[in-house]
Amino acid sequence: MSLPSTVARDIRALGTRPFNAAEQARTHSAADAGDLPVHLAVTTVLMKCPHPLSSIEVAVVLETCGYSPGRVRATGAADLMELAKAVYALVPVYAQGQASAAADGGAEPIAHEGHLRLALEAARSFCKGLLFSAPLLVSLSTMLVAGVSFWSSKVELRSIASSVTMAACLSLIFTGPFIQAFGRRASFYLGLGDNGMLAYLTKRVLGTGMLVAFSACVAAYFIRTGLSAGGPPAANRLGLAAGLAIAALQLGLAPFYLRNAIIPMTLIVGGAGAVLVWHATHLGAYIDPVNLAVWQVRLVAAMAALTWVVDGWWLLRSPEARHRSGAERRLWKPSGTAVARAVAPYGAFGLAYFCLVSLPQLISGGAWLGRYGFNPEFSLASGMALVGLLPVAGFGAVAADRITRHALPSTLDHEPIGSVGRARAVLRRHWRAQLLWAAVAAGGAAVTVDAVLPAVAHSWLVSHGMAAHAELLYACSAGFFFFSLATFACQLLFGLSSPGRAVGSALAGTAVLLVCSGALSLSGATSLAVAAAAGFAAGSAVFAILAVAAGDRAFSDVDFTCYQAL
Amino acid sequence: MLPGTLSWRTLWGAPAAAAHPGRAARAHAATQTPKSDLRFYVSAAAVVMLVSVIYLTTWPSPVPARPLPPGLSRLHSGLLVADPLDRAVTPGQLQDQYVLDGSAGTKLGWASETTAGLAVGIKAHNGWAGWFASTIHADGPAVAWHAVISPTALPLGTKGRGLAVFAVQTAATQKSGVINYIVVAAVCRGGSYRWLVGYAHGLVAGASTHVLWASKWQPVPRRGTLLASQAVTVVTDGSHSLSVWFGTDEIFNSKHLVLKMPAPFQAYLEVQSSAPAYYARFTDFWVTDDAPLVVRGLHEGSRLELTSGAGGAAIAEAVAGREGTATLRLPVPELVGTGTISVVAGRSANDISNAPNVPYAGGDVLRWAQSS
Repeated sequence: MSLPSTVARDIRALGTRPFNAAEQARTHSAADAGDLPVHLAVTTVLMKCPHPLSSIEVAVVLETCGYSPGRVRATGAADLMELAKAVYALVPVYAQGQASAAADGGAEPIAHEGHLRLALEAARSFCKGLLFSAPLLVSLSTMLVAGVSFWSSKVELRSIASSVTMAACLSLIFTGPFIQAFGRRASFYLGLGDNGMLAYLTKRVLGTGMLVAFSACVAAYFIRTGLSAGGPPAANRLGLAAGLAIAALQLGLAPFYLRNAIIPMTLIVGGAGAVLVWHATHLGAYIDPVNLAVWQVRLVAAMAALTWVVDGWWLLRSPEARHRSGAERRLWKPSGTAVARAVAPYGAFGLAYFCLVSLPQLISGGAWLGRYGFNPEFSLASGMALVGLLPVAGFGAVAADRITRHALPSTLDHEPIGSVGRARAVLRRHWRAQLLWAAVAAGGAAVTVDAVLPAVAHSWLVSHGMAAHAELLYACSAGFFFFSLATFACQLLFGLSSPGRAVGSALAGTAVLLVCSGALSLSGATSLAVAAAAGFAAGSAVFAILAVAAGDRAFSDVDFTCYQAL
Repeated sequence: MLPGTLSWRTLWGAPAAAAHPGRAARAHAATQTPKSDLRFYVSAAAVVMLVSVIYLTTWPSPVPARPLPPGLSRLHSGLLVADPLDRAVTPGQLQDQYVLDGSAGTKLGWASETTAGLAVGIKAHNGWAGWFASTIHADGPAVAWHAVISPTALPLGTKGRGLAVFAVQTAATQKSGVINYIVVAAVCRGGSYRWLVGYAHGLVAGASTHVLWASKWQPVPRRGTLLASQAVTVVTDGSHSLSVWFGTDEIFNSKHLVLKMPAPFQAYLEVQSSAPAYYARFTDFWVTDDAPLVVRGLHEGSRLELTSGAGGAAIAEAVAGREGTATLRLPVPELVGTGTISVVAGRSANDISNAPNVPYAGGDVLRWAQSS
């Protein structure tokens, strides 16, 4: 059997280590090692995807690489899945030789790191987290400075606030799965340098996300306008537009996160913020709430349109302009089903994650009672808590990234695969130290939110009677405290190729939120705002406990060959 | 979205080609997609999204279309709000133009617009409470506020009080909490009622009212029906000046008040009650510039007359100046209406040109394009 020229060249380029490992595997177990076509398949898969997560993903890559049913049968396997399982079984053997090459060149072993160094690393991660949270912080602070957000000012019409916040929640919930799915899958193709699939994903995943979110907002529009016997049509149209614009912005920013284009993102958000501040300061003594809401929505839409254009013309650009033939396209594109299978866990996580953070708003407006009206008390409390804890959430993401991208490879580089227990212990110690610092940072932020922020923001809060709703603030800051830790742990779980545990944690948290808030709302034991805040705190706590426990356990049974997973 | 690989070096966004493409990707140029389709796709989608958002965010105007007869065109409209309040609309449509709120809350307060007018009411309750429909947009200071108020004569008991209120309040409330306002109200009690004009000042809630003018107590003619309607027009600068008209009669005028009402203002169509159920109706609500009606495009010396309806009473007259512009100074209560404009270019009666059914408002600037 003659090797395809490309594959042969690439096998030579890989050097001798993989083949030594393969031979070693064959020596130990010829049955497991398989024969030459299977090894060729392993090599081909590893060239396209160095660290597959599962046999399903291997099957997707094999499909991508043109393994037709006939070619699969030529390897001796009955079907694609059987070949994928055989290939996946050999991945650890090949990956051992690649581990050191993948490690960060500047990384150092962490086995002997002291507390001071870990603290410094935590501080560095915190600063980096601040930077990566910059777009959201700029956005929030702009609205606070301009005094134009629904929750931090009296510039609101109840009908507009209700329709816009409802649409915003629906947009977040329904775009969340697609953003997560796109991010995870696109980073896979980004690693392959496959711009064709990036463009394909952008159109299919983000386009579908746009349609789904818009459909949800349209349904909400008709429910509010038609079924509620005369909802305000213009305000509801504005809500529909807000949902459309927010969904478009969320999806448009996804490639920015994918490419770490934080500076362009901050420039776009900051530019829009500057326009908003200018607009608000030039309106004089009175800010027309309709005019303000209309132009805010149009500004968001303009930002979204700009991000889309930047995505298509810059971030997802391709260095070559070449049309593929139909045969090539069929060869290189996996089926939609295969892609859907691969992104399903991430989509489920995105749905649960954004449900947990968005549903309390709807619950506070009376969702359990079959209606929705903007709840300013809950919005003010949750908004303030979010402002305080957003930087900590960024810290968690950066710290988890640091563990999976740097600490884990460098540890494995210095710990032979035979002493895996020691490597696991080192990494667990590192993870626990970072978790501790994350908890300290989140706790500090929560205390700041509860004790300091209301005093600092006194002038904003007078008209909202903040003192009378302190318990709402406490519950919301506690919720975001747990939410920050959960985000940290989930980032780590994704890094360790355990998306199932993250999905389970987020779903459990969402279920607790629904049960707790539903019981409180329907029983009438508390106000709707308290029911929403209590549900959010309880759901986030469960989310955090499960995610942290799963993260801690992940070091006991993690498959280190997947350390640089998607 | 949780961030992917975080790196200080790539904060501007690492291009796809520089993101460590795999060997297979480098070997197979087919993995490089054509860029034009994605660019076209996102650009077209961005434009469609933007246009859709602009369309959906278009808010209905508080001023209806006012078509002019042939030969006249409107260069500028001084009309800010014009709502006859005589259509049957849904509560939702009402909320697109008015804020429904008040101390009574949504369980006690109610408002509905039918062909009989905008009814604002409050159910029976304990303690003093109010409910109002206020304009979303704010205008002023140099504007006139007008509404026809029809208080009701519901049984209020011996101690009960019911107020039908037309108020012009500073819109600075949203920032400063100041609720200073001019109030024109019909105060009803058991068997009698009177009208009053006042100025109220306060912070957030509980404003204290100074009565500036009050009518005598009049007996309620029949219980359970609407009392005599009153067309109320208010003009104030928010500082020292206040003028109030009932119909065409100016019942109060002062330029020496201390009002402390920062402009702009919002109108409140409101009821208040000490405990019994009460409601009032409002119709013919308009807000317009307190300014003359200007007509351009006339011959110098042409005489211009505005009459109400077809052949009705003259409202205002003016003579075109050197630049062919005539300025019609309208009485404040008649700043908004529909009338006939007649232009006499010479001494002969044959030189008269008429433009009937002209919707006009204070501050309007019209162009006369007929031969005059």
